[in-house]
Amino acid sequence: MKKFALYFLIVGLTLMSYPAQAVLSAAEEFYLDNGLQVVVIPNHKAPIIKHIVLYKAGRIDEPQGKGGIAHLLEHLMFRGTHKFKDGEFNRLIEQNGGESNAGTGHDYTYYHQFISLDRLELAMYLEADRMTGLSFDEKTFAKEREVVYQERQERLNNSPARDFWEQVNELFWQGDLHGKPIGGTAEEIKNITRQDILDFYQKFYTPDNAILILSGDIDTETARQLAQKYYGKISPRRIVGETEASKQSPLGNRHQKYNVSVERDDLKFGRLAVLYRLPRYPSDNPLLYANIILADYLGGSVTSPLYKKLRLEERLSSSQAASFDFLSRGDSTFSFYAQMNQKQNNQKIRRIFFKTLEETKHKFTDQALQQVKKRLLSGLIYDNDNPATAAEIVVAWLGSGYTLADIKNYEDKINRVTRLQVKQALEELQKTNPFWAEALPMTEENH
Amino acid sequence: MPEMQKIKSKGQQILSLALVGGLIYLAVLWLWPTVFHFNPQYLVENSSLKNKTFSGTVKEIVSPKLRLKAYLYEEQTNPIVSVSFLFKESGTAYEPQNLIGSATLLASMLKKGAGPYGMTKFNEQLEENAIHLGFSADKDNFYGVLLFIKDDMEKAAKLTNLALTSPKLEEKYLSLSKNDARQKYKFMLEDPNTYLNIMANEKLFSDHPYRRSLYSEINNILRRTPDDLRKYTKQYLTRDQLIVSVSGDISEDEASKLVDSLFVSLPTTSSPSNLKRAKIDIASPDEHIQRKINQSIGLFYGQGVSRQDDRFYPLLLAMEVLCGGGGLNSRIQKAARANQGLTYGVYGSLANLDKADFLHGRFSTTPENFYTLKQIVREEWEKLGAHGVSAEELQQVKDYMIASEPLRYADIDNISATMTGMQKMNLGLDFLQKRNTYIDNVNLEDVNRVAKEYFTPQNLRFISIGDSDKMGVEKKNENSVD
Repeated sequence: MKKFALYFLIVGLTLMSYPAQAVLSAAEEFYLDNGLQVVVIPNHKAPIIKHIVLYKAGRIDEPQGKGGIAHLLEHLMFRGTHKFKDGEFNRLIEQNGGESNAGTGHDYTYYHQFISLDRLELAMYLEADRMTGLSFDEKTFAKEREVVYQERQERLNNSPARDFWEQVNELFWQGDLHGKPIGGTAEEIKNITRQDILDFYQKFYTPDNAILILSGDIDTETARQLAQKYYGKISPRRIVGETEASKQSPLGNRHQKYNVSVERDDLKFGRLAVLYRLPRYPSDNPLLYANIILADYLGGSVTSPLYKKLRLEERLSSSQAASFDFLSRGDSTFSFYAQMNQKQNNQKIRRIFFKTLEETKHKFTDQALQQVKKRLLSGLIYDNDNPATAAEIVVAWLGSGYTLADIKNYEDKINRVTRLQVKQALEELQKTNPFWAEALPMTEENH
Repeated sequence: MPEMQKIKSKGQQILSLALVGGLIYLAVLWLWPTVFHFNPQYLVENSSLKNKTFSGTVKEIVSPKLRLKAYLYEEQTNPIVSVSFLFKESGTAYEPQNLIGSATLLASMLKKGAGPYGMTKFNEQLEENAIHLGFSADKDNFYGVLLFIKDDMEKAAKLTNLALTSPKLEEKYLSLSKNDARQKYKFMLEDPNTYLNIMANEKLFSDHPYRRSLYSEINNILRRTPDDLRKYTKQYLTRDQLIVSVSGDISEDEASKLVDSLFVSLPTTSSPSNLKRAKIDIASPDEHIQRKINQSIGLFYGQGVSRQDDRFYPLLLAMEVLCGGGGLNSRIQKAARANQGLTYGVYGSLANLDKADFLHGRFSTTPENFYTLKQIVREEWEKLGAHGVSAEELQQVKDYMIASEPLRYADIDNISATMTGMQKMNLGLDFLQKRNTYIDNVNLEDVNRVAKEYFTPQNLRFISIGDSDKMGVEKKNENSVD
């Protein structure tokens, strides 16, 4: 199964901030008696539905030194249960025209099918079955571990830029599991045992640690009946204790001084990033939304100061972005990223970035604030269109410990942000030590 | 406590036993599909969600002033509208020598200022109103996509029309677009996947303009002037080459007027260039590109058939059996899995360009496993040709393709793009109604006849990239003569 973009913490940041509002105004949630949370997003445009089960367990929930369990388990979930033999899950979903996949992240793992409505019950049957009935022998386990190991080997060194960002993440997060590669290192993968997988499965794959999402041609009442019919009978395991708090590294580590600069002969152009580690803001903290606005102001548009200076005026970079990544059970990250036209532009780009931050204190006017708000909010309605998109938004927010109400309140919270709050966010940022990283080509070809 | 028991004759006992046994048998038979045995078909056919039937209706509209035809799909779930359009025979392969690169550059230049608006002002209006406007070019066509909120229809149409009819094409922004092209060139060199695709393209199409890419044409691209782009626009972005589709919350009347306002003032007729049919070089030996990477990637190619050919659906279905579908359950995927720990992606399909039709696929694995996997692909390819597919396999891919059909209605962008494709390929207004029947009607004999014709050892060529030092030596096919 494919891993999703979380691998790509930094490069993917421009795509982040899954905002939504009107989308989910129709969404409802309820709990079954066994603790399963159910989110329903009605969308009646066509008889199709996105069916997702999300487990609130990912890379950060693995035991120390045992990286890769969550991801290998995700693979093994397709390799059979007491009722179905290896490969049956995929065969049945595929034969019924469904698109099926799964993803493992630092904070959660999820399984999804996009399928014609009349086949939904089949998908629910199969998904509920593997919530408790996972079954694979040593041989299947060994084969799948080898597949995952090979994937890891392939991944390394195949995209030089990705390799680099993996190193950067590791250094930047200073031992926090959010900085570790999701699938584990090659060495870790080799050491995972069948029992490790079963322990993780027993501990976390239980209805009271899961969220069922139904997005598409369905109403809440039907969803309630079907959820009860297929998932209602599964007994909860009542996992106790919060894992996330203990997994976070001490606050002091946020102020670090490691920077990285590497030259590689497999790179053909340079990349540069400046990263700030910020706390995890709860959804009622205006600084969460102020940071979203600040990032968009700096780099989200052709009218943004970074675009104007770096790309248009000085011609130093071909792409540049500022992002605030808050969808995580851990700390949040404010980052700035640029692709350099020439590798010797690196210091100049960094200087301009810091200077732009400084100037923002004075240049960020009420008019600029209004403009950013409009930009951020006017397109939210498109998230209503594709039921799969709406469901993914719920995955990203709820998987990171935020709530459906937080998604629904997003528009309002953005609208309430004041210029002063953005300024405060900026000051907090400037108080935090920046971590910068750059990867440069050995030689650069120029036309 | 002792119980009173009725005394039965032996005959009665046997009779009642038989009766009970019979009842149990009947009960098991009755409940078999639901309780004792999992039957997916039963679950689907008896689902409470089953009785919804759905079939999208596409209408043809004609704009009142310009008399432009367009396809329309009305979908009122959200107050948003999507437009997809393309200009035929205007892609990178159609460009004459002195204009090579124009389509690629123009696609980025159309949003860099138009009419009275400079670059910043133009984009500000798009961003603030969440008007998503984009242009692109491939080998055959020049494309536009537009998504907007219904209330902003007038503004969205105006900005799109300005971009198409009076783009500023200023030198200072052209140099920016050229700079981006340089950067893309570097990326193509860096990324093994992209590099392999470009090289394969050059090897397959040898001297045909289909071989062109940003990589091979970088020097031509850097030579283009604003005047070149103007020439290209005048010559290719014309109404007679236009295909348009509209979907979303918009009535027939509104959509017709929208089409007029989008394309008013566009030149009427083109001066088309002639593109000859491409010969695809499958006959030359396999090729390998050396690069020190931990993943080896293989592409494979064979001749195909056109969209209009009788053999199109049979070949499509045969290819699906071999390496299609969700990619998880195909013959090659299964054979690769049966080998210890091989790869996680083999996928292939049938491609149809204006002047070339071919089969193509991709796989990747570690260098050590590469030749084993390549051999599996080759064996499965030849096996399909020699022995065909089974009735069961054919039914499975038909089921997949028919059951997945409703997913194309997931978003209005996709519906618009589908309708544009339908017009381009002349599939007819009722294609969406008929498509499942086309698939269902394909019979086993057709598939196996076409398989025999196309999945031959001669109609297969591999082009790969990876670290030869770690890949070992390829075992040559027993049948091949060196």
